Amino acid sequence: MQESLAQQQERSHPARSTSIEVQKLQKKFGKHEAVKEVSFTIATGEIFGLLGPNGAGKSTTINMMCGYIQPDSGDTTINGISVAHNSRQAKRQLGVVPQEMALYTDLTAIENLDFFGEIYGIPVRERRERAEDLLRLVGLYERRKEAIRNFSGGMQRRINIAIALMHRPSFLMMDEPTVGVDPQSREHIFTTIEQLRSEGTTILYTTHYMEEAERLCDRIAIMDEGQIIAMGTLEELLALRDHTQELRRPHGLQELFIQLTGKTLRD
Amino acid sequence: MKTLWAIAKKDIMHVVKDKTALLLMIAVPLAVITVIGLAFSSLFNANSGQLTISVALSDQDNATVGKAIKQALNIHTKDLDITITTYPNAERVRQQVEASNESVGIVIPTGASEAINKGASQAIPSDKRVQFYTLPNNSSDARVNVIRMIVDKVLQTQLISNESVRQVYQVCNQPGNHCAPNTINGPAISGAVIQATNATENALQPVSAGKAPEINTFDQVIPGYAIFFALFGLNSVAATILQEKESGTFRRLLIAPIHKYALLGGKLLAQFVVTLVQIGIIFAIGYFVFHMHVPDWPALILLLFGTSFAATGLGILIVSLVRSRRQINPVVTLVTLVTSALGGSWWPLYMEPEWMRNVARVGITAWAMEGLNNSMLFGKSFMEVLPNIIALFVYGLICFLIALRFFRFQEKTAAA
Repeated sequence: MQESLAQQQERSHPARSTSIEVQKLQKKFGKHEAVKEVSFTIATGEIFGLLGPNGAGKSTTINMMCGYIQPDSGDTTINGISVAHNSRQAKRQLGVVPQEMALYTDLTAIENLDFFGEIYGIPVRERRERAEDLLRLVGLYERRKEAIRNFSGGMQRRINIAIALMHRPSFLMMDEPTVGVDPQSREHIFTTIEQLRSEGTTILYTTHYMEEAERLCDRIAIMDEGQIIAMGTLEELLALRDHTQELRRPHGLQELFIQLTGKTLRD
Repeated sequence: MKTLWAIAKKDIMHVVKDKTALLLMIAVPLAVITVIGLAFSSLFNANSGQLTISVALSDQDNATVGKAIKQALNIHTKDLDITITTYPNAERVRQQVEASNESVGIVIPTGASEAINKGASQAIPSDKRVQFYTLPNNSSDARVNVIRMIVDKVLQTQLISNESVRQVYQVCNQPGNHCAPNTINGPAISGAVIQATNATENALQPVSAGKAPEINTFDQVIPGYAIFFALFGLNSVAATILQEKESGTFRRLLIAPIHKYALLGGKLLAQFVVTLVQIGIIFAIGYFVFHMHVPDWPALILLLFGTSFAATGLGILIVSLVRSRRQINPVVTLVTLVTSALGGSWWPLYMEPEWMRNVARVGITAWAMEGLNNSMLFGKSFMEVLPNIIALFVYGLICFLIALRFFRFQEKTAAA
């Protein structure tokens, strides 16, 4: 019932120019069905929010979309390139900002960026220029020669984002990129994301902070128990609310989320 | 290939940045090598071949047999040094042997020479026999066997010479034979027989084949411990990979458009370079400071390349089979200690029984040490150690291929 609602909402939003197409992704771990035929599309330049409680299947979906784990069935296409069938080419199109600080802490900021640029085959001079540009973008140019281990959590989060942008991906997947950062760093990250959107980068954004989704996302999908239970713009989602209860922004999405996913604690 | 090198370069950069760890990587093996090398300096040196034996002797007979035995035992060469201490009675000799103060005890009872002079045809009474004291069950003790051999030969010679004189008399006294009176010179016949039995060196020509090993303790200790510590370096191969998995950088690399073999290959290349540099520096110091023999440089260099490659391949294989960092230490320690003991890291491989040498080939150390011993101690040619070089490279390659098959690139991901 809920799934058909999500599908209905997806159909009501024919993508402007579809950048990402997720088709019936499915994944089981043993007997546990982590993701159940999840489908959605993301338009070029859109910020698409993927929300859900812990264990909802968000990370598994992201891991399948970026080719880190093989789906049992289904596929993702990035600008028409299949992740399942043309993995290496598809991977060139996407950047991932992982939830964890996936950084080499003994290396300096610029060495980290340079290394990941080299992995993507960017020529030396170009990657040096890009690294410096990105360090300016995330406000860490002055500290480029410092080892990452000396950076604060917020600074490390910003480097985490810069690394994902080194090869100029057209599609960026950001998995809870603001966890554990102070308000200043969070604001800086938001500014960076908005700048990327203005440059036409398509973004998939997962978060547990509803106000972030309200502020940044053009469309939002709420996942629970491995499937999408609601999807649409913020206004469309708020329209789904239980009308017997009064919902007001900025807490509207938070309350809707609880309404849809319940108050039971998750793992 | 560029990706592989990029990963290797990054890992090498990590090692180089930790200057203290880098210093310890060289200093610790060198400290151990120096201590062990000096402690066992006499074990492999040329002078260490001398066998020293102490003999407790009580000559109550004070006649020909005692004199002959003392004369035969008077040996002081670079290979054998026998010290004789005389005691007044059999009991003192027995006590000295029992207390392990002397290796062997010899008692020549009164009348022993006379009894032996009567010849082998007559049984020698037990109280007239030469007594030979040793500790029980020490038939494999080389010192006992050497003295026993010398005493046996003396008694044998005495018996043969006396028997020879007797035989001459018997022949002369047979009916029909005639020997002119006083023409049979017993002592002369006996002396000639003794001289003849002692002249075996005139009938035997010792010929040396091949080349005597020129062993400097460090020729064994430096390769042995360099390989031993290189194997301990497996810890760092495994730890860096597991650390990358834990920190999420490994996942980040897997999301990048690179081949899995390049990912593992880069790790292998970095550790190969680090291991090679470590072993190379230790050997260089061994050569310039400890005067290690290097008769064949190309063979040595290729053996070190092969050893580093095999050790790194083994490291990658181990990390593909263990599941956590806590498992690495015991596994690496077990592999390192067992293969070092079996494979000749701590003592020359040729000292081990053949079955053990065959078992040792399961590990890298035996292949490496056999090649290094053959080249450095026995002066074997490049072609003769080539099988060891090839074996090491094949060993590393097999480990790498198995690791590629079993390596868990993705940990089982729970739904999130």
